[in-house]
Amino acid sequence: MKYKAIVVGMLCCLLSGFSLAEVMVVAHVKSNLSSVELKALKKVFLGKISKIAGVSVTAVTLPDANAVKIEFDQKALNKDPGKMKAYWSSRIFTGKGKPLAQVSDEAEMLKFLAANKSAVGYMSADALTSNVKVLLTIP
Amino acid sequence: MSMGKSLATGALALTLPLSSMAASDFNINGFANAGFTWTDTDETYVAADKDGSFSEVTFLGLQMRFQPNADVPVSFVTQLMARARDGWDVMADWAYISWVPVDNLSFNVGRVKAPLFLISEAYDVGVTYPWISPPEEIYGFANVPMTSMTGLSVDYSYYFDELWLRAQFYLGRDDFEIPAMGTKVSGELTRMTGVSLSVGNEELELRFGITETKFSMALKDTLQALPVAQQVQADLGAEMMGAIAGVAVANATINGLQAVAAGPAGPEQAAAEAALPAALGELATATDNLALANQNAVYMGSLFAVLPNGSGNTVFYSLGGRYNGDKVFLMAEIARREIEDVPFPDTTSGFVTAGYRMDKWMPHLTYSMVDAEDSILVNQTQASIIAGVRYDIQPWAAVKFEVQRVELGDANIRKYGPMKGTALPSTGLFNELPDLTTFTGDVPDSLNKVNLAITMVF
Repeated sequence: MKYKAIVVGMLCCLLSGFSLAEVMVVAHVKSNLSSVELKALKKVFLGKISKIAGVSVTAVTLPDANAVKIEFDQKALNKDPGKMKAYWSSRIFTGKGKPLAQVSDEAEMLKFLAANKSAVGYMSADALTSNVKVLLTIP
Repeated sequence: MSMGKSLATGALALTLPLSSMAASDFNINGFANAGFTWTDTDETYVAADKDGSFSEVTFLGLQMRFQPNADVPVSFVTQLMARARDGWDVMADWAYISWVPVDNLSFNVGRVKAPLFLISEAYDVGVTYPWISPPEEIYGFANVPMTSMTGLSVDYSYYFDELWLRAQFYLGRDDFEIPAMGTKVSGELTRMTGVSLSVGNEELELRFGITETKFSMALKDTLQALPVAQQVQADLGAEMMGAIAGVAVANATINGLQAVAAGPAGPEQAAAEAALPAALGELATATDNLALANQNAVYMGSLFAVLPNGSGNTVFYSLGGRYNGDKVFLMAEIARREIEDVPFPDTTSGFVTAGYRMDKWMPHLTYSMVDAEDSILVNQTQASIIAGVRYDIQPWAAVKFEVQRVELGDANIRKYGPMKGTALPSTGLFNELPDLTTFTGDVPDSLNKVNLAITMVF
């Protein structure tokens, strides 16, 4: 039911052309990266590359039904939940790649980023702490 | 090198306190399809008839992927498939070790699906395409009787800003069964070599592929061993023996009559003389029968003589494109199958699909065809129109409904073989996986099919 509300909310957002909120692309506070370009970010989060400007990165995502993930996928990757599922299904089941690392919510995202110097994830501006470095703000 | 390694080890050390899962990596993913298919025919078309069938598009796939060490880019992947159509026997369509030495380059060793056409590898993953299953004329078992191979595949991708290029090379072997004359003939794919090149961006993909397969199969032995073939041979033998006996009896009768006719005159001699023309007529009939029986036997012999009992060669070429935009879905593919040394037909097959996404609904329309040439044994020429709709219940689940109209093609004129010059009517894909106990080869020249399915990934 909660999921349905999210989907409906997302569709309203898509139809009206409004965005819910900014999504922050974040990394370990001591990450070797200081910023990331959207094009490179897109390839990392579509599992196509694992290095940005020569630095190895581990992309971390939130669960499919998470509103921040839906927002990120739409804004950064230009894919709605259906296309995202189809994209990853075709990669995973056809020998082309492994799924990205996934954490259950933003609190876990913070823990994961704190523990992995190579990790790159995303979260809403509200969830930010001083323990992560913001690489890009997606309006 | 050592610095890179120490960095990686450092990252791994950082990872360890979080959980042991980050050091090794295990994923389970799956997909499932459940569907019901009806046709308006008594004969089974693909796998369904007018009583309907649950089995044609019902299956379950489970994939397990294990990467023992996050620091070593080697994974073990198994995809187990259980299909209603195969009586839920569990088969490993994929079972390979993947080594990804650098980004965009991977080596898969083991059992993989052969990427013959654009979506061959994703054939079973229904959420990735609009139809209930990819168009049968090109993707079906009748065109390609094997879906997986055991060997090596190398996959290389290169990403520009927007554009990507991808090259796949594969080499392997497999066992397969091919439908022929109402039975399945076991064969061995001794070598399969292929290359696939594709280019695309986020929405568009174009692909060219070429695959050569060398195979061997004992078609003659298999067909000769069939009860029906043995019965035909036994009948022919009995016919021949009967005809020989008929000639012998007629000869004996004539000899007897001639001996009497040449004897002293009297009623018996006159009767024998009177009976002689009829006896000669019987001899002529018996001789004709013998000639006919002989002709039939020679024909059967030559029919079996034309069947291969050895190796052959097939080349598949395919060219396809797919556009998957925000609203519009377009896909077209054309494939050519050329077979040497085995009297199965060369085929040209292809399809065009257009779909339009409206929120969760996607209505789509497809024209699909296969044209068989130079066939002397089986002719599967047909064309289909499929009108369907996909409704996404969830991002991970969709309901699909389709109606399909199939029209069988014209008869081929056999260009060689013992029946050269005669017509071979099309049996379309009725002959794809025929039920031996019911398949007669006598099929209608068109049919309607209705298909309802739910597909999901998890």
